[in-house]
Order: sequence, then C-alpha cells, then structure tokens
Amino acid sequence: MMFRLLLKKQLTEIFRSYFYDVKKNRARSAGSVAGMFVLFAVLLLIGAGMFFLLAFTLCEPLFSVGCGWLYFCIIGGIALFLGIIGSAFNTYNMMYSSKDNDLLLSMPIKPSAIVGSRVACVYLLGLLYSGIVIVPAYIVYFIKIHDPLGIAGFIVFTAVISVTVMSLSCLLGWVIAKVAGRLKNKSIITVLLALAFIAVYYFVYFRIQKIISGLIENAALWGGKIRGSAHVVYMFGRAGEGDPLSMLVYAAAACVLFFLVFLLLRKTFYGITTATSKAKKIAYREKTVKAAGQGKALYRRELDKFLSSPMYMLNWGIAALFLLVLGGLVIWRGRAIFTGIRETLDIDPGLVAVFACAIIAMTASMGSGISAVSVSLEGKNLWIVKSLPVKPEKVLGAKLMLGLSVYMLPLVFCSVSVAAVLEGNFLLKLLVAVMPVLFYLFTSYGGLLIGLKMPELNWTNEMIPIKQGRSVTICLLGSWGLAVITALPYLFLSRYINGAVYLTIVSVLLAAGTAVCRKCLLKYGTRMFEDL
Amino acid sequence: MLKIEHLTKKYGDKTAVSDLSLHIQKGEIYGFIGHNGAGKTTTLKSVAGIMKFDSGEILIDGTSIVSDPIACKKKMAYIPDNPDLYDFMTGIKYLNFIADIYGVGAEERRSLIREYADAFELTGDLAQPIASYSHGMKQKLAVISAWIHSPKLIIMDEPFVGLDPKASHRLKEMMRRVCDEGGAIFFSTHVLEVAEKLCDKIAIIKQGSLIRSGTMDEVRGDDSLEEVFLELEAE
Repeated sequence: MMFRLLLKKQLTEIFRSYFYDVKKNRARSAGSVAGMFVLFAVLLLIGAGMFFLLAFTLCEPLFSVGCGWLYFCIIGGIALFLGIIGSAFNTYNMMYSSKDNDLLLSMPIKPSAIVGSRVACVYLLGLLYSGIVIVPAYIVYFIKIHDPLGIAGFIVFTAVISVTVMSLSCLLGWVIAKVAGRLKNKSIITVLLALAFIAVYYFVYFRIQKIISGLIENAALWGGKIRGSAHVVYMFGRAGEGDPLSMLVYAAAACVLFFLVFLLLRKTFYGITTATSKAKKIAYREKTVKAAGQGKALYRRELDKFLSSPMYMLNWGIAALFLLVLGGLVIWRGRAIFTGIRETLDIDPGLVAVFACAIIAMTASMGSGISAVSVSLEGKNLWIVKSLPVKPEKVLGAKLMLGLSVYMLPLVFCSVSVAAVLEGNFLLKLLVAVMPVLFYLFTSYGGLLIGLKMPELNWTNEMIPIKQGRSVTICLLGSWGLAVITALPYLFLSRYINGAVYLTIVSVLLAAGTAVCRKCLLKYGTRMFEDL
Repeated sequence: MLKIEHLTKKYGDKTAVSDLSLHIQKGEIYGFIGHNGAGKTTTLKSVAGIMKFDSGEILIDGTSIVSDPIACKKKMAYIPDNPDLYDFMTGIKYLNFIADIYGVGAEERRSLIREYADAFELTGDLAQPIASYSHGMKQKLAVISAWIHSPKLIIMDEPFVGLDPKASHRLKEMMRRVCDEGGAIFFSTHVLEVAEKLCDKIAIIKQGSLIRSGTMDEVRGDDSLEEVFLELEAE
C-alpha cells in the first residue's frame, strides 16, 4: 500500500511537466498535454527508427552464418550501454537528492518502501531506454527470422536487460552518492566526467559503422572466437534467441544481482540521505586581499557563478572547447581539406572562406547566449546587485565580459588557424580572422538585450534559465540562423563580387549591428535592468 | 537621515503603501511594525532603491533615491527578510565582493571582517561555501556585509529571524553603536518586545497606511506596545 502511494508520487513528479506548465504556473490544457505526449512519442519513434535500421543491417548477415546469438549480443550490449548511460545521471538525483527525503524519513514509512518506489522509477526509465533498442531489434527478427522461440526470448531478454540496467544504474547512483559526499571540486569533476562521456560517445559514433561492417564481413570468424573464449557472452546471445538454459541462467543472474543491489541500497539509504558532506572543512586563514574595483569584482562574480555550475559550463561553455578542437583540426588537416573541397566542387577560395567563417560563427554562436543566461541566473539574488551602489551598465558589462573571456581566445585561435591555412590574399585572410569575432560580439550584445527583455528570474532549478528559457532558445536559434544568413547570399553574389568584398560587407554590417546593440544596451538595457 | 514623503506604491489595482511619510533622524533606531502584508517590506525595498514606487519621494541624507540612487546606496546598507546570498561563493569571497563594490581598503576590510566575524562566531566558517550555511549563518553574513562599509543608514527587514540569542544581542549592540556614531537604523520586526526595548521611535503600518508613529512613549502611552498594536489592529 505504502509502496504504491510512494510510486504514484514519484511518477507524478516525473510526468508533472507533461501536465503542468511550471513557467505559467498552471495546469496544461488537454491539447497541450496531448501535444507533449505526441512529441514524446515522436522522439521515441525517431530513436527506435535508428535502431531498427541498425538491426535491419545486422540481422540477416549474422543469422545466415549461424551467428544469431551474436545479433542479440550486439543488441543486448547496446541496450545495456544506452540504458545505463541514459539513467546514470538521473539515478543519483532520483534515489538520493529528492527534496522530500527528510519529510518521508520523518514519517512512519519503512526505508525499503521509499527505496522500492525509487528503484521502480529507475526501472521504468531503464526499460524505456533499453526498449528503444530491443523492441525494434525483435521486430526485425520476427520479420526476417520466423522463430517461435523468439517470443520467449523477447520476454526474458527484455526482462533480463531492463533489470540489469536498473541494478547497475542503482549501483552507479550509489557509488556517485558515496563519492559525492567526499568531493571538494564537484562541479569541475562533473564537467570532466561529462566531457569524457561526450568523448566516448563521439568515438563510438564515428567508429560504429566501421565496426559493424567489419563484423558483418567476418561474422563467422568473430563468432567462433567469442564462442570459444567467452562462453558467457555466447549464452547471453542465446538467451535472446530463446534458448531455455541460457534464459534460465541469465534470469537467475539478473535476479541475484538485483537482490544484492536492493539489499545494499536499503541498508545504506538512511545513512546516505541523512549524511552531511565528508569533504574536509577548509580552514579560514586571514590574509590581506588586494582590493579590486567594481568592474573587476562584478566580473569575478560572473566567473565564479559560471565555474560553480556544471550545467552552465557544459551548455554555454563547451563551444569554446569545440572552437579549440576545430582550430587544432584545421592546423592539422585544414589545408588539405580546404584545397580538396575547392578542387572537388570547383569553387573559388572566396566561397570556401565565406563558408568557413559561417562554420566558425555557428560554433561560436553556441556560446552567444551566455550573457542572456547570466541575467536570468540572478534569480533570487537580484536584490544584492540592485541594492549596491553600482551602475547597471557596469553589471551588464561584467556579463558581456564573461562571454568574451570564455570565447575570445578560442575564437581568435580558431579563426586565425583557418585564415592561416586558407588559400587567398592577405585581405581575405584578415577578414576570415576578424568576421567571426565581430559575429560573436554582435550576438553577445544582442543576447544580453534578449536576456533583459525576457528574463526568467523565478526559478527553483537552474535548468530553467540555462536550458529552457525563451531568451536562451531565441539566442541559440537566432544566432545559428544569423550564421547561416551571413554565408547563404554569397552563393548567388559570388558571380558579382569576390569573397573579400563580401566578407567586408558582412563585417561592416556586424560591426554596425554591434554598435547599435551597444547603444541600445546603454540607453534601454540599463533601464530594463533597473526595472527587473 | 531618511525622509519618506507621501510614498505610494501599487501592485496593479492593489495599493501596497499609501501616502506614507516618515522622518528618521541621525542617531535614531526606528522600528517599523505591522501585520503580514501591511506594506513594511515594500516600504523598506523602496527606501533601499530596489523597488520603484508610483509617487512620493525618498531622501537619504538629503539626496533623492530616484534622481541619484548610486549616491544614496553608497550611504546605506540593506538586509532583506530572507538572506538569499550567492551560494556559489564562500563567505569570505562574498564579503570581499561587497567590500570591493563599496571601495573598502584592504587593511580596513581585513580588520572589520575580523571584528564582526569574531563577534558573530563566523570566522571559522568564512572559507566554506555559502551553500553550506544554515539560515542563521547566512543572516550573520548578511549583517557583516551590511556593516563592512560603515554605512550611515541601515535598512533591515526582520533582522533577528534565524539569529541565536547571542548573535541577536550582538546585533542590538551594533545597531546602537551605529546610532551613537551618528547613523540611523530603520528596521521591521514582528517581535514587539525587541521593538519596545530597542527602538527610539516606532511606526505602525496597517493596510499600507501609517496609523501611528513617534517616540516609544508617544506611541504606547501607559500600555505595552503589544496592547497598543493589538488594539490598533482591531480597529
């Protein structure tokens, strides 16, 4: 009874955004709810469609050489990987960071019921992620291979994988909870971990096609090797095919794993949720600090906020890293790539230069909303800066300076790298180096104005101003669109003017736009800030 | 020190503060009492320059908060009812930030931080992130940050909420010292005993309008402040 009540509460929380508009603070209309679910279904179908194509590519070649079990090994492996990766970041929050922990623990509720309801939600999440892979794979299997045993395999395999995903996700959440209490620099470590995940994802993404092609070509050879040296893996695949013994072994293993993990969670739940941080308390040592001016103090405040939030850094700072990587790639292979493109498409260096600028601008535009976000992030703390004797232009200047300090160096590095390897005269190279910088300046000023016009100050979760606000969406999409617009007209104009002239026009327009935005910011932006 | 003349503030159709006038002289601790939603916080925010008002005038030491807010804010400090400080900073970083904004010199701030942090027993926690502070610790930090630039006028909204008895006692001493040195304090409170013992003058606000103000003796007469307040509320 208690478990059901808690599960209902958990599910209500998870699906609340589908029924309730937090921004407008009111229930969604029936049409809006239906729209949300349709959108959710479409996203699921897109994901499932991708795995359907993958399964379609793998199924027949593998079954034709008697390696059907390998098909399920691959599908099962991907489902486990996706399920655990997908749930990893949510499990810790879902299990241990709920705001109602103290309330629930103060009530006559057994910790096992609380743990059980949360584990059940982790299970549903894992089932969703792994189901996106498993269901299309079995649909392909039933279409291509008409094996009645497959039904049993489908049921048991899905249960084994979803339960294993749940157990391993919970275990990961438990490890994170244990480690998190001892960490000092949580935000930096979170960012590094997230970057590592992103790197692994892209590594796999770029390699997967090659791996699958190799696997299909040498399926019999690989299959034989795995079957001989790793019988456990072979049995995993056989369970997918519906082999009774393999199904029994894996179902039992999944149950034992779940039982042990649940026991661990139940025993440690109270201790973890009520524990205070074990990070060593930093002793205060009095020292004379060099006094700073208002501008510097306000800039430091913006930087401290940026560096304290992994979500802020990952969403609005990651493009700086992309620019550095892009610049490095250009130095490494840029000359050959640009020459190859120019010769293959038989286009002039000016067109290559214009589109190279647009690509740099588009990458940089992923950071143009940083100033808009910084306005909304003032949130409940807005009273501090408003009660201080500082002019609004200084506050806004610090917000602009944050974006410039994060992006200017990577942006200049990237655009200068491109300019250095591009074919063309000095003027064209100079404009390639300058135009993306002007683009960033323009979008930053514009972004700040949009942030002031549409602030999201009433939030309880940073995710809203950082990822979901109207201002950040407009900044991101608007600057992407603008990056495209800076290049597209040249497809038609290249017959009449050369690249240097075109980039001069674009640069002048961007510089003029920046000047206008700056004037607007000083005239209206400061007033808008005072009115917040 | 502080002149509020015919202050009116509306939220849509609702009048939060109506034609309120108050004069606070140098050396006075001025208490501001009233029921929840009476208009105290709106008045204090207007004085602090963080809320625009519809009509009237607020002068800080003769300077208008509307025409020269920066000059006014340099002379005063504001502590809100809920000390939402920068969770991403440590206590010492926050104090240094405030000191930088007010242009407090390095040596001066060092000695002031030491004095006030020791007084509130917060020195050992200054290197900790504000996110780890309790409500009371945040309140203490807000008080220290308000005092760090030696303001002439201090505006406080329910300053004693969350403070332990020792810290409350220290704050009262500090308030008195500011006034003895020629400054002024304007603060709201629901704790009538505190107001009765601490304030030189008191103002009672009801539904946005000032219903009584003056010295403690003028306001309460022979009764206790609690009796007077309840009587006025019942009218």
